Amino acid sequence: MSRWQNYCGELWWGLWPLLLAHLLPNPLWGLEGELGGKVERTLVQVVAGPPGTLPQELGTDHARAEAVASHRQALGAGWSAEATVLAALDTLPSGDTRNLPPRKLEPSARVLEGWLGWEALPGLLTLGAGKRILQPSSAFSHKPLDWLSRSDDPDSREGRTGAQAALFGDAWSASVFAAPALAFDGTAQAFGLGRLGVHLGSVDVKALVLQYTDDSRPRGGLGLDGGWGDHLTLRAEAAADADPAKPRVDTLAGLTWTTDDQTTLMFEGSWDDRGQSGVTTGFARLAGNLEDRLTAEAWLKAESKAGSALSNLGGWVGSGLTWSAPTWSMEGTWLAAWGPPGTTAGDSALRWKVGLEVKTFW
Amino acid sequence: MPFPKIIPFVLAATVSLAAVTAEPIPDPTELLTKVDQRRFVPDMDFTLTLTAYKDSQVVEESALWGWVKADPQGTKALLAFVEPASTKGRKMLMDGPTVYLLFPKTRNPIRLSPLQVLVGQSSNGDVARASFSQDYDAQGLTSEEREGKPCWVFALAAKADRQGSAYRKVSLWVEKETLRPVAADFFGTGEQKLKHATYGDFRTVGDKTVAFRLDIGDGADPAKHTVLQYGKVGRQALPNGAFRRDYLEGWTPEMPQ
Repeated sequence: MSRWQNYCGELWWGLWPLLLAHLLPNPLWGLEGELGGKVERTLVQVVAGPPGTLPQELGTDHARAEAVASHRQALGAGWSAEATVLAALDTLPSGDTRNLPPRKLEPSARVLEGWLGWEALPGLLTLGAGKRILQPSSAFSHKPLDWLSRSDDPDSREGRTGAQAALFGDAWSASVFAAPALAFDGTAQAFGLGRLGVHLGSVDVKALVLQYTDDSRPRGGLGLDGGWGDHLTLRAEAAADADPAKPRVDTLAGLTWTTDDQTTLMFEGSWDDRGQSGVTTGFARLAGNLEDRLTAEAWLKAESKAGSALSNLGGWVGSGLTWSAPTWSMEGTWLAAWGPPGTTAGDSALRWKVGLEVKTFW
Repeated sequence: MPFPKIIPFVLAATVSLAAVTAEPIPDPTELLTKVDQRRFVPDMDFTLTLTAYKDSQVVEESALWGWVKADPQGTKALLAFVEPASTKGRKMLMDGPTVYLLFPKTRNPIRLSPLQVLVGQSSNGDVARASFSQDYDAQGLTSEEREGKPCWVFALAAKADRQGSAYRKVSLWVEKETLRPVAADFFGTGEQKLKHATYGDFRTVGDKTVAFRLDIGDGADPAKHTVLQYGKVGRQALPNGAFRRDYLEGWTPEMPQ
């Protein structure tokens, strides 16, 4: 089967709910899409010789065009269907500027989500099956509770295939997501994810348990967020993996302060102990409106490995400007890595990156 | 990603819901409670358009569908964003001072502070969520004529647990004969007026008389104002369970009929 046949097959499974949606009389609240293009200039350090050769700086360009369409449709009698599909053309699908692809333009298509749901008891019990993104974390810079992101990409938008039951009480909710091992979905082992959420005054607490069907021990997590007055929101998360072979504790605490003019200042701190070495991370972000449609942000992420001196910090710094209109937006960003060797950012090949992204919406 | 600029006005729409009554009550607290009790239509659903002006120029237009559930503990609202395309697909739950927003193609509603969902450069939030008797103490009641109509004028001050609110004081005009809200001025810690709201286009919905139009002006810049206009107002009920954070991701809004 050719590559294009594969892409068409993927798209078909995502498009059928969209086609079905157009045959139904309900108003199309959920039909939405975006078309975007992005260009980036990246400077990396590469070693192009035998050991001991001094690294050289290499500039590369990366362009990507992407179309995403999604739809959510009520089917009647409590049933609903939704799907999100993506098609892209990319000059650097790996994202690794040291690993250039053989073709100059790589097409790809993915079904990010496809879900059929049924509200068995209105407001009390919902059931569903299909492909769905699972994102339990409320954090921004580091997400201890997002255990099921694809690969190591925390921004992965592709869901997992499985079935879910969710129950809603007066001030609580509980759900179970069960996923079988599916080769086509890239899930090597079946797993179950249980979630319990409790609303206590102005605080939301959630507890999670993830269990694979192998003999590994379950992973547990606890998260909470709350608000204080009109200005402040707070959040904290902790996740623990009790597997003796790979013990891990991952924690985060953060806050967002909003001023009267809607400028937001965010701080997050995390400590991720992967058993071999811990990493302490601090994150700060300042964002606000320069004009009605023009927003700006700047952020700094600093990282220190366990046992390192405080002076041995590395990290990333970045900023961006975004112009937003009703049907399109444009964003310019830059990012730079800093820090001495021995830090993640210092050892990273990436030195800096600038980018421009334009999106249209419908 | 900018937060939706139309949100703050949503519950403001419910502020404009008024009922016809006749008897003026001299005690300001009791009268304010009565005005408030008649402001909300329980289990209301609606379509709403919001048009922002600068001078006479339209600078932004938005549309949403909403569902409101009011009970003695407070008011909750579910919102589905319809227009513009850049915000379409967002879903929001407003539960008292707590606000949750779910972006399209994500699964975890994020918690926002009330100020994060305000309009533009100023604080419309308390205009939007003004449940006067819950958030303010009635410190005075006077009488004056406004636009030829005898009105009660309430002097309101934020309650102790709402001192973090952007609006510390409110002047509220209520028509004596009908107890309909006519206008409100919102102030911060000083004497400068931050927002001004007027209510109009009253229509009958069930046994209530509803203000289908709310005009919110910027106290600092008289050229700026936003008009909220109801299209449909109905009594379609959503179950209590729908007004929960974890329900947002599975909720499929259907256009109010």
